[in-house]
Amino acid sequence: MSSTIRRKVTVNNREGLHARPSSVLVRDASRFPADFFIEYQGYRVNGKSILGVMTLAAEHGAELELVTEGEQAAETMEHLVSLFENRFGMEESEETS
Amino acid sequence: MRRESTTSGIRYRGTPASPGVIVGPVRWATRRELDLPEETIPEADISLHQAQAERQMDQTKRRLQELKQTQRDPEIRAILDAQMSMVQDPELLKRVLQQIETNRYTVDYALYSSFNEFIQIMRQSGQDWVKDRVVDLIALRDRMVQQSGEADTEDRPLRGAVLFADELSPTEVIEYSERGLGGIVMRHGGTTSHAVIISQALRIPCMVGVMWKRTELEGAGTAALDAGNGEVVIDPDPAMLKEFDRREAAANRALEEARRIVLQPSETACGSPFDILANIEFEEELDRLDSERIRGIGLLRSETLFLRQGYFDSERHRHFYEKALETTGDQPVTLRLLDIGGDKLPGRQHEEPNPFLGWRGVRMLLDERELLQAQLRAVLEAHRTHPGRLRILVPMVSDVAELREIRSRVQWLANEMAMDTPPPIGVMIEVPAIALQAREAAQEADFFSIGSNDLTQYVLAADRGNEKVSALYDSSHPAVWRVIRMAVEAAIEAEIPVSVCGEMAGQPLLAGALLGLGVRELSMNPSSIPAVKKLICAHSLRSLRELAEQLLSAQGREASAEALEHWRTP
Repeated sequence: MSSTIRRKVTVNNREGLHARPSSVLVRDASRFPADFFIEYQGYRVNGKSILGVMTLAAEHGAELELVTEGEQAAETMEHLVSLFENRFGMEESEETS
Repeated sequence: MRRESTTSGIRYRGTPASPGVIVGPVRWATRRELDLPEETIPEADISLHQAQAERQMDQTKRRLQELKQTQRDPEIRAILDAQMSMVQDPELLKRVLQQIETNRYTVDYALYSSFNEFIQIMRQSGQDWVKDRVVDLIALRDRMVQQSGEADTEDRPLRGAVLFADELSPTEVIEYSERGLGGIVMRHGGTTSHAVIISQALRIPCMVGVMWKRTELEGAGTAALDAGNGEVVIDPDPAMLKEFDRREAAANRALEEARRIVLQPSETACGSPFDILANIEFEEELDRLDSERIRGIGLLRSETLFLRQGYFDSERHRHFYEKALETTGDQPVTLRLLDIGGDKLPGRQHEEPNPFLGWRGVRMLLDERELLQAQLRAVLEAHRTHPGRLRILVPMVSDVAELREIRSRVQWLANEMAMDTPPPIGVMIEVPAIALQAREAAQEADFFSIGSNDLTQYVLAADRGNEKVSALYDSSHPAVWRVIRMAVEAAIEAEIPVSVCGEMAGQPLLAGALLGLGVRELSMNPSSIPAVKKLICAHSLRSLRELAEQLLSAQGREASAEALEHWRTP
């Protein structure tokens, strides 16, 4: 059974979806079997393609739509959404310790 | 960018990108923009060319991998990883194979035109960091097509030279540094370009935004580059040369001094020993540690790995902890349990109106039994392979019962794993409630570690991220120091170790005052170590005690700021 899941997310990183976050996103997405796409401003790119994600040039506050399809679509989506929410694990260290 | 003529020759100005001074022979690199003509192949050759395309992409990836193996700097390794993921991009490969199949392009032309599609889009981007990646892509493209995409340096020796380039790719900077390159002057390339990041990591002086002209360099002998001041002079006259020699010597002295300080024993002017340890957040940072002669890790943050992955990966955590222990020889490693808010847990969407007073640190861990158990198991397994060196630090403790509960969970797990001596367990002193009960806490804890950042914000009720009140956030405030004194005195009385691991420890004067209070162990970002050590080694405990006294007895924030100012300029 294949299913399609869509979720809207916001880019919370101050500098946008720049080099580091996009490589974390692509790396993590590539670990899941599900297909993953990102839609933004009428474009749709393969979320497992670093070049595709970079060409989006999504800025801070950009609202993206994530789409996962196929095997483990739900788990994939859950994980990818959490990356956006945690700002890809960046910009955290200043608050702690 | 301005250009002036002096008696020396030409002086260019530009944007500082990586500081440093170097005088050396002039070299320039010109990149011939590759302009391939469209070439097609007969249908029968399609699969042959497709296989060749995959081979060429694979070869480029392997070359990058080899380059990565020679590099220890985490920043550089991350950039090379990014290059590798571009070479292995599934969309790129798909396009290349498609163009060979449907347009009958040759392998080289298919690679060339597929890269160009992405380069085209990225050139038009409104964001500088995207534009900064164009040079990376062009270099990868040309490397793949020609299996040598290097900018032409005319094979002249680069040792000690100042290289003028249009824009260098990251791999070029690494390769030239291996040939002993002295400095870099580029026309393009923002300060976020990979070439710049790598030159910083390799400490190669670099400036950008200089519109140099080849005709002005031809026949030139020497260039004097002061990258930190954004200045380069071609064929300097003797007076100018002397000035640059002086600047170069001053820069080298500062670097030399930092190295010397790190190597000298950690003792105050009156001969009292102290320890400086490192705060570590990323696995990559561990690779730099031994060269900097660190006396152990005073704060190993475990939450960053968790946040990067988005879930608790026991294997990866154990590996990280073990690597930290391996890198530090026989020195101690203090590992802090996950210090995050519950909203960071996978699958949780709840938002708290006041997260810093909410469900975080030990409060969250005690509720999330499985998560805590998974982390403790990873910690105990690392402890088993390197006995006697690991310490567990518990964040966000506000009551001794929380510490007791953690201890019983550790004990239970240690029994289950047939382990006789579990690691010592300490309290992070950051919530004022536990500092005010420091005597009681010292009876139950094996050590204290003062987290000065959060302690400051809780004592002063000021969020330094909120610009309306950030001026109130001041870790030299007497109220903060009185709370710290309570914790330090309780630890000394109970004869348990006490250290400070917040940013306070990395500020030389405040670190000195902590010594004055009786703290003998400080943990900080490795880059802060030389300045802190220099200040402490230059003072006796008696004068550091006076400084601490002044902070403690200050009438308020202004008075403590004045006391510090007075110390800076006696």
